[in-house]
Amino acid sequence: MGDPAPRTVGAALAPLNALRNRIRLASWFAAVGEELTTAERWDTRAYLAGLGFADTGVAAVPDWKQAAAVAKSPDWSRDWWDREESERTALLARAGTLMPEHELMAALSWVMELSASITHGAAAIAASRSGVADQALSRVAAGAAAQSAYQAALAAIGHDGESEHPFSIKFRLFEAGRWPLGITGGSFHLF
Amino acid sequence: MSEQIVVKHTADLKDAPEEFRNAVAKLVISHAVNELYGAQVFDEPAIALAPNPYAKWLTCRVAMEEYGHHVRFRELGEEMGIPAEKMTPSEKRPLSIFEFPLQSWEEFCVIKLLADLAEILQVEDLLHCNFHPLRNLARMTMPEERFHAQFGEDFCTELVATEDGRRKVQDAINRYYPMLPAFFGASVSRNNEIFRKWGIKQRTNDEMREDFLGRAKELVEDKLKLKLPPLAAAA
Repeated sequence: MGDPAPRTVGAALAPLNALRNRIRLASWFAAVGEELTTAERWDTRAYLAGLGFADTGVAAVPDWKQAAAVAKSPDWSRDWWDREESERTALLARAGTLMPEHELMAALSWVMELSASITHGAAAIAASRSGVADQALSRVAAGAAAQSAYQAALAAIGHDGESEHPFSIKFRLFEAGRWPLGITGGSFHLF
Repeated sequence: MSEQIVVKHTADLKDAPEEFRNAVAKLVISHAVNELYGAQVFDEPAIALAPNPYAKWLTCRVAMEEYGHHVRFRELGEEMGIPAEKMTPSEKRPLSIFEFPLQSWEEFCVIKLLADLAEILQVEDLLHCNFHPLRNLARMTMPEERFHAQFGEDFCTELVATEDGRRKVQDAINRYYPMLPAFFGASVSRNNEIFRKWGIKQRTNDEMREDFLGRAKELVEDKLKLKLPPLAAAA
């Protein structure tokens, strides 16, 4: 089978234009540590249900120190990470049927480069506002944010289900200024 | 012995002697290729090997920074008129260290500790390069390179706190360290002579190698309390 037609490739990549704008305009890390809103709790539950963790509770993380401790905790859920990874792999495979590999990689690289250029500075500023000057931790936050942007890009290209993809919901939490830290000790931690 | 020539802008490179232009192009190609190789062969696979989300996200960020260095060198190369395909691994043979696939988190931390130290030395030598676009790029890249080496030191320090970790880190040092002195090139090097003649680089390959060996000893033996393998026996 040959490469998809250019018109098809263009249509498949179109959702990325909106995502790029959202990456530029997001309130990266602006709401970390604040009390969780009802909408954020709903989003987090929808994200968890989408990944098959509907019974997992949601816990708020109050500060950067706790956020680092949660991310380093030895009882983090490998099942949760692996579930995200298998979603990522499935989306990548589907996206690969919609366009030539080099076009897909170029589009994803563009998203990563854009998020890389924005998120580290935003994380460092947010942390310093809380009196935290930790070069490694602000990079950890930026790495998580860039991963989410990449996942959201894949979902935008490769998801064809009726309900919103969990990666899109997770990205929305980042976009609103939060840092979803993952499942640790049986709860999903949202900073 | 340095020729008194300073090139402040890429556009002025066309007026520089051919030997100067070729030498600068060699350096830019080498950095562009090796930064990309490093990101693809070590940093990206290390995300899966990292022991927790903190380490995974930090490694993800480091991979992006290494890729970003490739992009910066490639963009400078393109401004200089070097075809993009010459600045990718398919066109240029990589350093030997890149031919050994990464197998463990401990290996990755040792690579950050020692290979990024070697990279720091290479970039340090360009901080006063008289081709200013390359000098400026080196100055911009240096803080991130230092952070990457610090990443290696911090995680290695954490790992050697347990007996199993000590053994694994020592094993990785035994396998990777012997490859690193070759990073700095031959003792008698026509390329290095030309780099120094034009003030593009400052030190001989042997001077940089000696500096690396000293700094590696300080890190591995004085700080981590591990052993560097004898180089002659490993060669």
